Amino acid sequence: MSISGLVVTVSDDGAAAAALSMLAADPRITLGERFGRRVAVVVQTPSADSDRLLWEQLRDTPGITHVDVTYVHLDSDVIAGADPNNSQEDGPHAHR
Amino acid sequence: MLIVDRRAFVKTAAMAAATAAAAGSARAFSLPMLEVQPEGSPLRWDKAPCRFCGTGCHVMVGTENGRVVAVQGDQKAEVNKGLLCVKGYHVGLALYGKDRLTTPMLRKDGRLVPISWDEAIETVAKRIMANPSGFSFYGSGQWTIPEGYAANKFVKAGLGTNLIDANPRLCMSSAVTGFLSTFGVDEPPGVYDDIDDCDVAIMWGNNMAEMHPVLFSRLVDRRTRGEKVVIIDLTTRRTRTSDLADHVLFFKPHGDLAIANGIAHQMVKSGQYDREFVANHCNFRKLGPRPDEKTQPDMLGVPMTFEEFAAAIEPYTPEKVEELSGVPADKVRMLGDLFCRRDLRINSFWCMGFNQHTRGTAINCIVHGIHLMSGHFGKPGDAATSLTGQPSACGTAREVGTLCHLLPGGLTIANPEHRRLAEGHWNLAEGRISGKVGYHAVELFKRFNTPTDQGGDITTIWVQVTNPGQTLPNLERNFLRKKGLADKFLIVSDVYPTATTELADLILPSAMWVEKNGMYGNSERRTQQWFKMVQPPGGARDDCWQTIAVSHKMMELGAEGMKDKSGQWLFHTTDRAGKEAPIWQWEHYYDVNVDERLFNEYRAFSRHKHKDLAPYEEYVKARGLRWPVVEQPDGSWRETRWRFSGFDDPYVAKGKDFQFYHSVSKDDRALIWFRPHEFPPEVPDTEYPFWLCTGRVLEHWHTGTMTRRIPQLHRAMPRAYVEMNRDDAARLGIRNSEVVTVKSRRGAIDLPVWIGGRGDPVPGAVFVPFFDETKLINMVTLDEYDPYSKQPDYKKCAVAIVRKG
Repeated sequence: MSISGLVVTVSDDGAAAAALSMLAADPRITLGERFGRRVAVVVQTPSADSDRLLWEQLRDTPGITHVDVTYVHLDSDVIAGADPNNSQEDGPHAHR
Repeated sequence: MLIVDRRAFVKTAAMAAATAAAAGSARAFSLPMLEVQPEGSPLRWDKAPCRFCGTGCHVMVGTENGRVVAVQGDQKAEVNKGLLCVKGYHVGLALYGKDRLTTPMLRKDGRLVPISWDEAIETVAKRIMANPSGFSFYGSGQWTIPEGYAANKFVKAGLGTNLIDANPRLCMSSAVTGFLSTFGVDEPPGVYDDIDDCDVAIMWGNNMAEMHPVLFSRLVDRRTRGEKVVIIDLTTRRTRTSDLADHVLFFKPHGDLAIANGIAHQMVKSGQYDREFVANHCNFRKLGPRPDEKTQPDMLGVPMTFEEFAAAIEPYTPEKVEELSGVPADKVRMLGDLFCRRDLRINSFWCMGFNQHTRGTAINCIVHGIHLMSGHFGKPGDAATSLTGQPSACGTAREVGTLCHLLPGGLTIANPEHRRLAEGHWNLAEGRISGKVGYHAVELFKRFNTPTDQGGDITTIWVQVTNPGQTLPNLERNFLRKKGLADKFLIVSDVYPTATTELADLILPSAMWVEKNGMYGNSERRTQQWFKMVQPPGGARDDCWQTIAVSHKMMELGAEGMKDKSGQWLFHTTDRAGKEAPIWQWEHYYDVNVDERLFNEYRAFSRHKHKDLAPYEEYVKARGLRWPVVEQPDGSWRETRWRFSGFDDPYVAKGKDFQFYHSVSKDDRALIWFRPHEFPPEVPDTEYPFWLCTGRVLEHWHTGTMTRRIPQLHRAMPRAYVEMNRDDAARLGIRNSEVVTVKSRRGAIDLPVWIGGRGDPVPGAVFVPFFDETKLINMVTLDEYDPYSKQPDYKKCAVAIVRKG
């Protein structure tokens, strides 16, 4: 489980309403307060990878002009008690 | 705590942070300071600057059970006001790649074998003592300030050589020579506040949206509040910055020199330059004659009159600029007209596009010059803003002086008086600091990669916090030839295996970021501090400790240079009771705060060039302070935003609007330079018909050694590619994703083609990012460099694109 806080900036045309409707309908997304064109959003996804994909998807959505990140819970595996090292990568120069 | 409660807590914290950032209302980036941590947070939160780029965002780092488990943008930080980019978002994960280096390893019979720290430190000490004049440090703009200071003192005071250079030579040194030539001091005059007040933002070859995304957010955020900000993107390829620009103007390589001269030409021709500012605060300069074919003219040039300047700039008509740069004449006129207007505030931004340039000093100088001529200088929103690439290129390499020609605090090796001042600070015998400038990065590695009996007088290099095996240009010539040279010895302190550790003879495992105390200095003169929050893994230890331990070992072995003239060790440190603290022993290194001790020694240097730093404890309280930081009558410390401007800079004499008090011409004036357009040293031809530009991508920090170990970033951008223009690809019958060979006169690599991808080069140009250690584009690049800054040009050389099979 991955949880992050975002600020989504919507456009000032009709596409913004459609974008916000789409966000509201997505079970992974909790919409927060809106301040002009900026909307506070919390995203909860099954993994950090899917979190990242959703972030990309938001950025490419018509009606959304910008996505900023404000908070990320880095290591959701800790919540489940797993070893976070298991999710990490090796580089190609490992000296073993 | 139950998992469900924990999850609810995390969601609440995430929403609080997002709401606080979204709620800013009055003006750009004046967001409210909200406490986003709910009561009863199980995490410990501490401040730190982000580990990656030169922006200097602050993060709050959440730790639990000795691990970093959360990161959030720091609401109290003026730089980022709680926002982070995708790299900052994942910065904590950079600590936890599973192949962290945890044990010193020495190459024996061709194999790296684990050794003890005692053996490692003694090996380094003996190697240096065997040939001190053949040893060089090679450091980094990611060195913390105390790390860089310790290495600098080790070499310049301890060894009595100037054989130390650092990777800002590849990154920022043309900005430095630009500042020195114009203002007489390496000093960005403006600050990020200028982003909030400008009407026009000109990106000079600067993809800010990907390279400094939080600053770009700060700019475009103003549009969401209804403010008008015109963004002009001068570029050689369409990027994410272009997507939000009002004008996208494509220019030919080195065309920037012509465009900037064209702007000056229009101001002169129309007479609409700021006559009062120029008359009161500026002189004109040009390069003098070359002493001989092999020698460049002096960097500080010779005076010229306004009339001579006007005559020199005369050829740069809009039509001529179009011919040289490819930017249409009417757009060149538009740029000139903007600079002629007094009712607009103009902010120019640049980074590697200007600095990695064989005429990098020249283009830095010309753009400072058009801001001075037009009076778009030294007022909020009117600025020429050089952005740094690394988190402490400005704070460590430039200010601490970890380059072969510098001493701390902006003092120079070439100046005998400066050497005396440094000897005084370090309590050294007069004449201890050598007047012989060391080798700049490319020269240093050339010599290391040349057989000793053929002039390769550098036999040992100690690399800390950088990866020259991936970043040096023309890698075959400048790095890989070491392989066959038995008497060369490469020491590498790092956190992960890299292209550099591949050839290392000794590897020292290092602590990183919040595994140690640290201080950085960002692009806008902001010095930042953080404390160690978690333990480094296994046997990894601080780079600063490694330097100090080697120094002490050398002293034990009889190296008298490691003592000052009173016979005291150069890094002698006492505890609060006045008793010597044995900081050369790792188990006692954190008995005292070594960063505080080194920083407070270093800050004495900062006064000479009016770069005053506050005592260490002031930085503990702040989210960074911008130098000069000057003590006030009430005992508080005041930072400075606009240098040389009377309304803000405490060193401008009372009653003066502006004063360039380190003026090259010694009359408190800045210099407006004439530097001509010149063509690059290598241009495409029939054999190598494409321009190659290299650079970074949003997801990866430089050579990817950290970010490629963060799964989310690695999977988002897993490998390097070559961006091609669609028409070029069609003409050559190349399909998207097809693997081609990118070949130059120096080397070749195979890469998949990306057409219509994130960036889109103009016809005749290709782009390759350098983050991928499995696809080393620097096998292909050219090692020509600017004659003054010695900074190589990674942005342009000639290549062929060859279909495979």
